Amino acid sequence: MSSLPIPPHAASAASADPQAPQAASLAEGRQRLRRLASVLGLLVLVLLPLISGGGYWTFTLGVCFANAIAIISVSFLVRYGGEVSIGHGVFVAAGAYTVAIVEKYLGLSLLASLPLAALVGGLLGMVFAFPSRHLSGIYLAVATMALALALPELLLHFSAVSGGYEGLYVKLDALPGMAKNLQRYYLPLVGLVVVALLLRQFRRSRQAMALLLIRTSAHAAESFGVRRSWARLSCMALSAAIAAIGGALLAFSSSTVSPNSFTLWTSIFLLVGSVVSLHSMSVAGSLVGGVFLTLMPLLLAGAGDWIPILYGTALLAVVLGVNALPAKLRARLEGGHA
Amino acid sequence: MSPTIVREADAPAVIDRGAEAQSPSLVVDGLALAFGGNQVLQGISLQLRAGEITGLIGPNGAGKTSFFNCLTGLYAPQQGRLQLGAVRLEGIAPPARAALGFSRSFQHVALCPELSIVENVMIGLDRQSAAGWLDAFLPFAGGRRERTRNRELALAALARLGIAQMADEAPLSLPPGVLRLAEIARAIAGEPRVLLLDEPAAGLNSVETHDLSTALMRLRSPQLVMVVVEHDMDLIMEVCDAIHVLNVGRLLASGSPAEVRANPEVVRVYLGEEDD
Repeated sequence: MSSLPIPPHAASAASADPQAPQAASLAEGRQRLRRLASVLGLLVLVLLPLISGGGYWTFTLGVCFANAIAIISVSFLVRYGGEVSIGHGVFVAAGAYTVAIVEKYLGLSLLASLPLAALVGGLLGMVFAFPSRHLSGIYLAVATMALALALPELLLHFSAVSGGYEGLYVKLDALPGMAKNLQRYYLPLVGLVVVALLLRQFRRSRQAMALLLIRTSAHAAESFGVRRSWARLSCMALSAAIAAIGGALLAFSSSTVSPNSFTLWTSIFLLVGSVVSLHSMSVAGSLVGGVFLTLMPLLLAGAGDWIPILYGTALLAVVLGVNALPAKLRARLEGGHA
Repeated sequence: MSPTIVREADAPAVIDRGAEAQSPSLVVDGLALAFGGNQVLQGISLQLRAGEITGLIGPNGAGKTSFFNCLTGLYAPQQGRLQLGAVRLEGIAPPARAALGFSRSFQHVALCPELSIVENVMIGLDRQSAAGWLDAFLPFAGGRRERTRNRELALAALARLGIAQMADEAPLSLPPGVLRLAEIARAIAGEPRVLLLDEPAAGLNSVETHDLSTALMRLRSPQLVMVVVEHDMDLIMEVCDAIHVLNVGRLLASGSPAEVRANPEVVRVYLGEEDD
C-alpha cells in the first residue's frame, strides 16, 4: 500500500511551461540532425574498404576500431566509477589471449571465443576489484599499474600456454567466404558499434544511475539502497569485459598476440586515448582516441629520436586545445551525460 | 542538563502492538555516539510516531545530522537501541535500512550532476525496482515498462513539489532551491516508511518555503514517520506535531510546538528572546 498517495494530475504538470513545446521541437531537430550525421559517418566507414580496395589503411583502421573499444573500457571506469586505471592493458590482454588460446587448443574462431573473452575479462575484473574494493584515487591507480607491470612476466612464465616471447597467431576465419582483410576491418567496426549501442542503452538503466550517484555521493547512494562493494565490483567487471572484447578484436585484426603488445605503455596509452576522446563512449568520440592511439605513432614514425617529443607535444596540444574550447561546446563533445 | 519535557521516556514500554503493526513508530532508546573523545550524542531517548511530522531543532553542532546518520546507519552509535516497529536496527547497513523504507534528504544537496533531475529522483525508486543486468543492456519490454513507470512516479513526486517542469534539466543549470526540492522529491518517490529531511528549506525563498510547508503537510500519512531538521522556526512551528530540541548532543526538550516555544531553556539556548 502506498503511504504517499499520488494525485492523478501530478505527472501532467511537466508540460506547464509555455516555452516547452518550442524547446522540445528544437531539441528534437538537433537530435534528428545528430542521428543523420551518425548514419552518414557509419555509411562512410562501411563503404571505405570497398572504395579504397582494402590494403594498409583498412588494416590500420581495423586496429583503430579495436583500440577504440579498449579506450571505451577505460572511459567507462572513469565515468561510472570515477576511477583511473593504468593497468587496463591486462584486461585487453586477457581478451586477446583468450581468442588466441581458444583457437590454438580448441580450433574455434573469434565468433565462438569472443563471448568467452568478455566473460574471462569480466571475471578477471571482479577478481581484481574484490581485494581492491576499498581503494580509490591514486591508490587504485597504482594497484592497477602493478597488474600491468606483472603481466609480461606472467605471460613469459607460462610460455607453454602463451607462446612466450613469440606469442600466438590468430589465423582462423571468423566469417568464411569474406576476404581476410575485410573481416579484420568489419568485425572490429561491428564490435565498436555494438559496444557503443549497448552502453547507450545501459546509460538509461537503473544500474547506470546508481553507479553515477555513488560516484558523486556514496552516502546518498547508500541511503537509497545502493551498496558500495556492488558498485565497485560491477563497474570494474563491466569495464574489464569491454576491455577484453577490445583485446579479442585487436588480436583478430592484428592476427597476433605477444607480451610486447601488452606492456605498461599499452595501459598508459589507453588512458591517454580515453583523455583525448574526453572519456566519450560513443563511436565517434572513442574513434578520436583510437585514431590518436593508432595513427599518431605511425605518422611520427619517420621522426626518429623526436618521436617522444612530438608525441608529447601532440598530446599537450589536444588536451590544452580541448580545455580551451567554450564549456558548452566541450560538454557537447563529451556527449553531455555519461 | 536533562530534558525539561520528555513525554517519551517510557515510550517503548507502552507501544500498542496492534496499531504498531499498521503504522510502526521509530523508537530511539539511550542513543550515544562519540568520535574519539568527542561525545556527539548522549542518552537520546525518544519515539518518532507514524502519522506525525516531528521537528528536530537545535543550534549548529547540536548533533541533529549525526542523529539522522545514526538512524540511516551511516554512523554506528556506541550505545542505544533503534527499533522500527518490531525490527531492531543496530547492525543493519544503510542499504538494508533503505530496503526497510528509510529515505532521506541531505544538508548539502547530494544530486548527481550527470543525471537529469528526473533521473536523480528515479534513484529513490531503485530499491523497488527489479530490472536486472540483461534489461540494463538490452531493450527488453519488462525493463522498458519499469523505466517508464519509474519515470512517471518520479515526475509525480516532482509535481507534488511544484518542479515537474524542470524534470529534464541538468542539476548544474538550476538554482539551489530547486535542487533541494528535487532531493526531497527523490526522498518521497519511493513510498518511504521513515522520511528524514535535513534542512529542507535551506536556500529556498519565502514563497518556496511556503510551498514546501504545504507539500510537507500533504505528505503526512498514517504509515509515514516524518522527521524534519530545520532552522526555519516558522516552518517548524507550522508543520510539526511534535518537536525535539537537541543541544550539545543531549535532548534538551520535547513537546508540542507551543510547549517548546514556551520552554525557557529552549528560548535561552536556541530560540532567543523576541525583539520588542
